[in-house]
Parts: sequence; C-alpha cells; structure tokens
Amino acid sequence: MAVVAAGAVGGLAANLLRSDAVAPSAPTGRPAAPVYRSPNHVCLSADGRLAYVVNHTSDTLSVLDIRGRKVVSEIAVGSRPVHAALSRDGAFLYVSCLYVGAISVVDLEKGRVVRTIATGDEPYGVTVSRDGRRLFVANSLSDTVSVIDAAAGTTLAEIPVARSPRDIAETPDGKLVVSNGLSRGMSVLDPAAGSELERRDLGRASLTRQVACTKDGRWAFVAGILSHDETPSLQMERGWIHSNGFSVADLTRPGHRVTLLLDRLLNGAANPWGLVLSTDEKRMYVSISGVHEIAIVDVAKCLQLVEETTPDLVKPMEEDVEILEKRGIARRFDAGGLGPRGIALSEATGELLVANYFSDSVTVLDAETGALRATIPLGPPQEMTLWRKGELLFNDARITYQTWFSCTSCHGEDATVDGLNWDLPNDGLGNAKSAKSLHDAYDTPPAMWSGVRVNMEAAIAAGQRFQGFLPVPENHKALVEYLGNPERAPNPYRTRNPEALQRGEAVFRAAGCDVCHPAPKFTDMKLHDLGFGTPDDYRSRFDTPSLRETLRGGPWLHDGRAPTLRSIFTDHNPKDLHGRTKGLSPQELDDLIAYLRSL
Amino acid sequence: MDRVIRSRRAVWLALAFLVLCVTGAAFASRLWREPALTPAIRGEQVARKMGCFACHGAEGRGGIADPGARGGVVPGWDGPTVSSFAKDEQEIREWILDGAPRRVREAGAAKAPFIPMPAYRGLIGEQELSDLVAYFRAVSGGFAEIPEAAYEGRAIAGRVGCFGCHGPAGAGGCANPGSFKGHIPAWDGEEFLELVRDDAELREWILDGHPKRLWENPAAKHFLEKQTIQMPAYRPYLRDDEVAKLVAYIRWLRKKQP
Repeated sequence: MAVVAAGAVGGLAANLLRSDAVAPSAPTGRPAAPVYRSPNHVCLSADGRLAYVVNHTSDTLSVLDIRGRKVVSEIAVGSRPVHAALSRDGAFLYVSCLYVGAISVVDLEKGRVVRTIATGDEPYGVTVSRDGRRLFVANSLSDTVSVIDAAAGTTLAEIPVARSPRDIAETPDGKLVVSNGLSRGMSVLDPAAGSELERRDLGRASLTRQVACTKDGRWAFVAGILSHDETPSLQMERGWIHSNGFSVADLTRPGHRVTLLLDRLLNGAANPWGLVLSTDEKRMYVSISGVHEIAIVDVAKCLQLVEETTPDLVKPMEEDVEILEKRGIARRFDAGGLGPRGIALSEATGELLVANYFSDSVTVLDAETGALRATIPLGPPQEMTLWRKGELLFNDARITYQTWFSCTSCHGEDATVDGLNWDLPNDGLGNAKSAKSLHDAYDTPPAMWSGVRVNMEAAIAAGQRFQGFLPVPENHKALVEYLGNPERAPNPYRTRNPEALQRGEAVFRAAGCDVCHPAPKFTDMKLHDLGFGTPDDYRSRFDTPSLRETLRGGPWLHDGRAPTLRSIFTDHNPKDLHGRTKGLSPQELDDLIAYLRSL
Repeated sequence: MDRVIRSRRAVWLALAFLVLCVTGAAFASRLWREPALTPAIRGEQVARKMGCFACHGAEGRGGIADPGARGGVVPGWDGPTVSSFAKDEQEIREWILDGAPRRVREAGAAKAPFIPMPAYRGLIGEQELSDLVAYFRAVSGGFAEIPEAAYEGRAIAGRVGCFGCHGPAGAGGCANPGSFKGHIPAWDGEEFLELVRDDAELREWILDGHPKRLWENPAAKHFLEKQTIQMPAYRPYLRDDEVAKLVAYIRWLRKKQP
C-alpha cells in the first residue's frame, strides 16, 4: 500500500515537472466572467457614516452604510480603479483609474462620475491638499507626481520622482511624502515649486505601499517589504530573503529612517500594504496583505524605539525579526478576509474597515481589540475560478514556509518585477540576476536568465519548492492557469507619437535587434553569448528575454547592470555585439527607446 | 657447414632488409600523407580564393574599417557578432549568394554600409558554398543547439588558444614538421581515434601534452619529442571543471560528425 502511494506521488512529481508540457495556446488574461469586485481601497465620507470602496476589477465604487453593515449603492467609475480621496467639502470622491490614466470625479450626491481629469500614466495614490484646491497624484508608470488644480482639472506641475510612485501624504507645511514602489527610497516634494527636495534612502525597503504623516509634520510612516536581494537567497526563516514591516522617517533630520519589522520569529508578516494613523496618533494600523492580517501598532512605543535607534543600530534593527515581541510595539489580528489591502479607521464607531481583495468583502474590526465585528459582502458570493485561485495563491504567503513572502514579494501584484537583482541558488550562488516579469514565461521557454528551468511549469514547480514546500497539485494547477494567462495592462505608449515609433522600429531592424528579438514574442528563445557573462556567472550564454512590456522591467540585462534602457546601448554594449548600436545619434537612440517602450 | 651458415646469414639479412623496407615505406607514406581534407578545411581554401578574408580579416576574425557601417567595421564571423546578422544558416547562404538575406533586403536598409557585401551567386559552386559554410560554421560556432558544458568548453578552447594550432573548431590543417603525421591533428575525423582512445587519454593530452600510453611507446615518444610544435601541457592553466568542459566540447563536436 505504502509502495503504491509512493509510486503515485512519484508519478505526480514527474507530471509537474514534465519538460514537454504544452503552454496554453491562446492566453485569455483575466477571465471575463465572473466579475469579482476585488476591493483595493476604502475611505470614509465626511460625516463618517458611509464608506466608499474602490473595486479594482469591477470598475465600480461600492457605497457602504457603516452602521447598517450593508452596501447602499454601487457607482460605475473608470477602468481599474485603485485608490481614492475625498474632497475637503466631502462632495466629491477622486478615484484614480489605473488603466485610463485619469481621475474619475464622483459626485457623491448625484452618485455618478461627473468629470474625468487626465493624469500621468497609471495613476495610483491620490491625495487632496489641505486647502482642498490641489490634487496630488502618483503616476506609477510615468514615475512622476502630478499637481492638479482640482477646480480647473489642469495639471500645474508633473514632478519626476523615483520608480513607480504609489502613495502620497501631505505634511502640514505643504510638503509631499511619496512612497516609490520600485525603488528603495521615498521622495519628499515641494509641490508649489514643482521640485523634489529629497530622495530618502530606506535601506532594503522594497515594494513600499501606503504612507502617512503625523500632524506635527515630523514623522512619516511607510509600509513595505524588506528585500535582501544581491545576497544568497537562503535562510528564509531568519528573514534573510524577505522581512516585512514599515519605515519611520524623521522629516526634520535629512536621511533619517528606522525600519521596524512586523514579523515574528517563525512567522513572517508578508507584504504590508495599507497604513493609517488614528487621529490622536496613538495607534497606527497596517494591513498585511500576504498573511491576511492587521497589525495595530503602538505609536508611542514605536517612536521611543525609533529615538533609541542610533545610526549604527539602524541596520541591526531592520534585521531584528523579534522586535515586535521583544518590545511589544504591535499586535497582529486576523483581517477577517483574504488579501487585506486598503484600510480606513472609523473613529465614530471605533472600528477599522478593511478592503479584502480576494474575499470581495469589507470586514469591520474592533479598532481596540482587533476582534471581527462584521463582514460586509460587496456582492453575491461567487465561486473562485481556477485563475482567481491562482491570483490568490500568487499573493498568498501561506504557501510559503513560515509565511515570510509570497510570489508578489518579488514580482509585485501584477506579476512583473520588483526592480531588484536576486541571487537564487538555482544557477550557482554569487551571481544575482534581475527579476523578470512573469508575463512572458508561458510561451517563451526556457525560464530564468540562465535557462535553468525548461519551461514555465517547471519554473512554477521550482518556485514552490523555493518557497519551502513541494508543489501541491491543486495549487500548481491554479498557478499555471494564472501565469499561463497573464493579464497585461494596456500600454499607453503604443499609440503615442507614431512617427517616432516608426523611426524606432527602423533603427531596431537596422541594428539587427530583430534577429534575436523577432516579433511577435520578441525573443528567439535561445541562449546567446554577447560577452555579458562575468566570472561569477559560471556561464557565457543567457536566455534571450522577450521584449514585450520592456517598460515594466528593469533594471535591464541579466545582472541588472543597466539601470535605464538608454544605458543598455550607451554603457553596456562596448563591443557592439548586443545589436549594432555604436554611433546611434541621440535622436535614433530616443526613437529606439520609444519603440522598445511600446512593445 | 660454412656454406650453410653463410646462406642462413643471407636469408636473415634479406629478411631484415625487407622488414626495414616495409616499415620504412609505411612510415614514409604516413609522413608524406596530406591531412585529411575535411569540408571545413576546403571551405577555408574557398574563402581564400574568393577574397573573403580581404574584408573580414584572417580566418574571418574581424574585418577592416567601414566608415559607412554601424559599428564602423566589416563584421567578423565569430558567434557573438554573427548573432545580430543572421537568424540561421540559410541566412548565411543568402549573405554569401545575394549580399544580404531576404529579411534584410525586404526591411530596406536605413543606412547602407560603405563597403557593401558582394553577391557571389554565379561565382561560387554548390560544393564550394557548402564547404565555405562548413568553414564559417567552424569559425562562428554555428547555429546548432549546443549544450551548456560543450559551449563553455568551446569558450575555454578559444580563451587558452587551442584553435590557434588545431584550427577553428579543431578542424585541423596546420603543418607540424617532424611529427608522426606531419600536421597537427584535427578533433574530428578518423585520425583522432588513433591518438585518443578515451576521455582519460584526452585529459592526458590536454594536461600533460601527451598520453601515458604513447609516451611509454619508444617509437611514438620519438615522434612526440621530435615534432616542431609541441603540444603544451595545460596543467597549470586549467581547472578540473574547465578540462571537463573542454572534453565535453570535443565529444560534442565528434558526435556531430557524420
């Protein structure tokens, strides 16, 4: 009997790793039906009686009666809304719509969108200025923050920041603190002058999410992951791959920051996301999206710890996975739903509202005890499709040993990149590789820069082993379904400036790029030796990456040596082997980059 | 009695003479034998005849300046350079016959090189073309699927200078006066089997410059010591894993031979 069982398991493992597994022929992306709501953010009405829930995948806004524990209406907004902010008079809600590149202005009285304000590309966090006259929008694809005149709807300034700004908080003296999702720093901006005052390094912070400031303008809090990239990805139980928490920055001291972890020994707090401060600033709430929990942080204890942390202790502190329990800075509770993201504090009722992305619900927690008081479903219950299960697992740290991280901790919730170089042991240690977008894995075998996985299925199975467990057949199927049908956001650069794209395509061909990167996959799926190998790589050839969605990748080349697309050609092609790009004029280079960004 | 002894001595002498003649002739024929002409070696002669090296440089290692071309030079035939000019071997044939593959002609060159690639259609025979492509394949590494270890072995062979004497891809052809064969042996073909019985012997060749079996044979040792170009002993310069990759490359090369 035991022998039979062992045989069955062996057969299963073999199936999971079959090298001849066929890639899905026509990827469907996110299934058209059923439509889930996927609440991504929640905010309160001016009188505190209603909550507005931003439903990411149904392109709607659910209006909740907090005390009545029910949905009172649902309002259509632009495509893929992600975040929202209330106007100072409480009459309008500004909803950022990722796929549109615009803010949907919802008249809350009329219950519909009355205006659309153009922003930069893929707007995420939106904040209303203290005087209510300005909107600040983090354009996560343009890498800028827009300052918008709320009345006229015109852009007054677009301030360049680091990669992928996510969330904005305004200080009392009118500065902006911006979390940059794909860089390791936060930006401090002067919106009136239209300039970046400081880019503050946050050490190993990665995929930073929501940000908040104290009323005295001194302290800024940023939720995020700590990624120990560039070092061998080992000892996950000590938080050496990922640890999770928030950074505290004293805005009066340039460069100051202390990072505190919400992990516990043997129990990671994967992927902190939402972050709000109570009005009395005694408590801070952080949603931990990968483990479906909420942390209630004692702000006084936390600031005391921050003050004690002298510069030489900053690094040991950000590595201390026991600090939560040693100093009692926070308590963690079940969020009551799956994938908690945006949160809002209803002080009138003493409750925390949590938008649970995968449960299609808002849960109401006691803000003091963390106890679940109510679950408000945003629609009728719907069974999870295999794809949706895959999306959940991709975000879910419970499939990782001791819940230290999930797939998204390196690839983001859109299955692309975290902008870091990881030293995975599968191709030898000591040779970190740039994280690749997973959107192209399904039809461009082999996988990984060194081609060490024959195809996507083998890579997914290996990924699960890397996370500390053997692939579970059901999970494996769901992940294959999800990653085999990647959801690609619309590329706003595909239609912009067609003349430049045409010129860029001509340069692409003339330089011979199309030989190894032929359309439509923009890869020949072969290993090539273009002199990029280093002694640490143990090999000279690397898998040709697909150029689809190049704009979402980076840093570029196998070891991430090129921080910008331009530097691939200006700094990292000395022998003219990676395309014949020597002597390209600045104009030709611009055109080539415009073309690459449009793919 | 004396007569018998004398006649026996004559027989012995005649026999000894005969043996000497036969062995001498055998050695002489071997000494004078030309290296086996493989397609790659014939292809090198075609390249010489057609003037390829005039622009592409000796052995196609990289060419003369072309002020009109992107990159400013006539491209070499090494693998990394070739990879941005041709998708496959068919496109190499098109480069030779038509001056550019159809893909490039149809795309329309944005910037024509100052020194255009000539079209050899009508000037080169079918056999010559096939030989030339074989030589090109040896120089560039070709478009074949090559396993990781073998590819790294090829890179190591290039780095430590093996191809200098053994020819591109070990195709052979270099003369070596005083050696048993009169030339430096190729890594493909039949001769290889006489010199290398197994991987252990191949490693001995690489690390010590000669295998123990031949070194202990007086006749073989005579030729090994007398040859003008001595096979170097690479022991100080190659790690074990590098030798293993070299062996993998040579084994892969031999497997590809028909």
